[in-house]
Amino acid sequence: MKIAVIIKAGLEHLQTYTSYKNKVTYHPENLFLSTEDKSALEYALQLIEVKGGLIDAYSFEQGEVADRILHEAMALGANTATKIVTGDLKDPMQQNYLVKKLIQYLKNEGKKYDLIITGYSSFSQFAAIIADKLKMNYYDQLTNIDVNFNYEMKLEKGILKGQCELPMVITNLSSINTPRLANFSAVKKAINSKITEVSFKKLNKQKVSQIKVETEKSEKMIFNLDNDPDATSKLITLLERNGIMR
Amino acid sequence: MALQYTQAQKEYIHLTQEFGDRYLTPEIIKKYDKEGNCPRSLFEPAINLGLHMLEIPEEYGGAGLSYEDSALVFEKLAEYDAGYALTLITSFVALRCVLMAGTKEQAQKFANVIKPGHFAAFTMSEADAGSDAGSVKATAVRNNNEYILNGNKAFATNGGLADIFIGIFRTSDNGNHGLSAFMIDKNTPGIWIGKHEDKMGLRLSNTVPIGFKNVHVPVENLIGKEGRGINIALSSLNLSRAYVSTLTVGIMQRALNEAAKYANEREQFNQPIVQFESVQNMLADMATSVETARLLVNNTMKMMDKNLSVRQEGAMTKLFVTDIAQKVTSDAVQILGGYGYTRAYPVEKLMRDVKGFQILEGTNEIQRMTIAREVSKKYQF
Repeated sequence: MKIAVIIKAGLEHLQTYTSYKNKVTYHPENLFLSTEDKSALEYALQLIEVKGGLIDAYSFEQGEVADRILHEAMALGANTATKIVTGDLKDPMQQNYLVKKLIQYLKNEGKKYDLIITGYSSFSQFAAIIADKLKMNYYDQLTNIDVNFNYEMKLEKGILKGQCELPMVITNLSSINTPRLANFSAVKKAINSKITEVSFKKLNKQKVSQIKVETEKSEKMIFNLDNDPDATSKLITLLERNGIMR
Repeated sequence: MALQYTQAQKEYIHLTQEFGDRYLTPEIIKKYDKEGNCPRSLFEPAINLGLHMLEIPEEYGGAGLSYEDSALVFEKLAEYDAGYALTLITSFVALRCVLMAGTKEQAQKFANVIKPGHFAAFTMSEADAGSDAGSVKATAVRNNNEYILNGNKAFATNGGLADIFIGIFRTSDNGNHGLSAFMIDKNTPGIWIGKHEDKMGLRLSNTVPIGFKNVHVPVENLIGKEGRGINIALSSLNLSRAYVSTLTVGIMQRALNEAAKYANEREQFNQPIVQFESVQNMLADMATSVETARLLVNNTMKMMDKNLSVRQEGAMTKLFVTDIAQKVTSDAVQILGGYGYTRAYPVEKLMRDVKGFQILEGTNEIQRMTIAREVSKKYQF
């Protein structure tokens, strides 16, 4: 089997962003492989153990974060690691372009996969675009899947069950398995292993999303608890609306 | 952070943290600390990661990490439990002694025992021979192609878990120079393992007396030459001193984390207690101590990686770090107040654990003697 795992950093670490006096600082040194992608990799490893094959890990992260998560993937068992250094996959405007370029790259390299898997996240719709362009089956937000491709997708009340068909692209949640831990020898070997770097032509400024910070004008509200009989209930309603009270 | 980690070090530390979060949960540690033991099964995940041979060269089956990198791993592990970390360290320090002083065959034989997941112990202390190593009475008498060992050892770390020991025995009446080191298979007839010590702290670390009655070991198991035992013991102490210091830094870091977290949450007089200057001062002192200790340990490890003598620096590090850790952990208990004094929070355990490190691997009084001796050479007093 030929499997591609598209991995990204997880934002679970509390210290990824810290703020002090209205200044937000980004700490990439706290970013490691996301839990969903660890599970994705674990599933790929289980498949390889049963059916044989190879796993290629891809990352669209930048700088040291890309290196770190690809090292993790290799330490866990990925055979190759590739980082795409152009663009931001989280940007909806760039997603289509980057996916097109990735597919072109895969075709040029003669890489044809039975399975492409990525951990589910808020921007993992790129997986659907990949499935569409490569004419692969697509299964989204799987909560369980076994090595015979029987899957489960948890609904609000109930579970959707079925069987996947290759070739396929899937996004998974972390509940599909408990990922293994690497060992230190493997981590050391991975740190000294080669990561292929791929870059595409950069999109010009007009074709990427721009961040605009909106300063909210805070509304001053006065609750006259002494004279207004409804003041208390108004205050409680506001606090509940803002999620401060439940 | 005063110490700037390399990319590789961040990855090693992260893996250790994942391991600790998964297998060394507060509930598990609390349970075994209360019981005063640690089942062998709890070490299996650590063995799968290679933590039992972290610093050992790859040719012997280890991960081959540097002293510097492995120290950072064990510092992180000690944040979960120092006794657990001590068990793993004791094993590979024993192997490291054989690597340094023994033959390649001996080292390979020793490594072959540990690699699949067995433990090693280093045993020298006796009931009447603690700091005064020259008072070791247990004997090794040569008889043709073997030595016959007799005597009792005390406070052997890993003694109850180990499958192989390094033991220091007296081969002649020549004071310190009459001591020799032997590799001993645990299953050799005549060895008895005593009752596990009910210690104040480091309760997940196995500590037992070991008795030897007419234990026959082949001549090939003598490490180095007769009379070199004290040198081998001191080499082992150099290593274990440095690692004990790193474990202590881990304990201090945990104490600081717990105290800072509690101080932000606990409210008295309508505000979090972290707003009070007295608490802030304690946290500031604790943080400074942790950073300083970490840098000192890191420097010692770097020297060891360069094969430089750390007789003075190792002793200074161990002395400084373990003494300051007493204050750090005590302040953590103080910040948590009444709750800190109970088992409900982990800080009292940290305070108990740290006390052991002022005594193990050469008491701090012995460290001062060692430092004074080295300093006297420089200043000729």
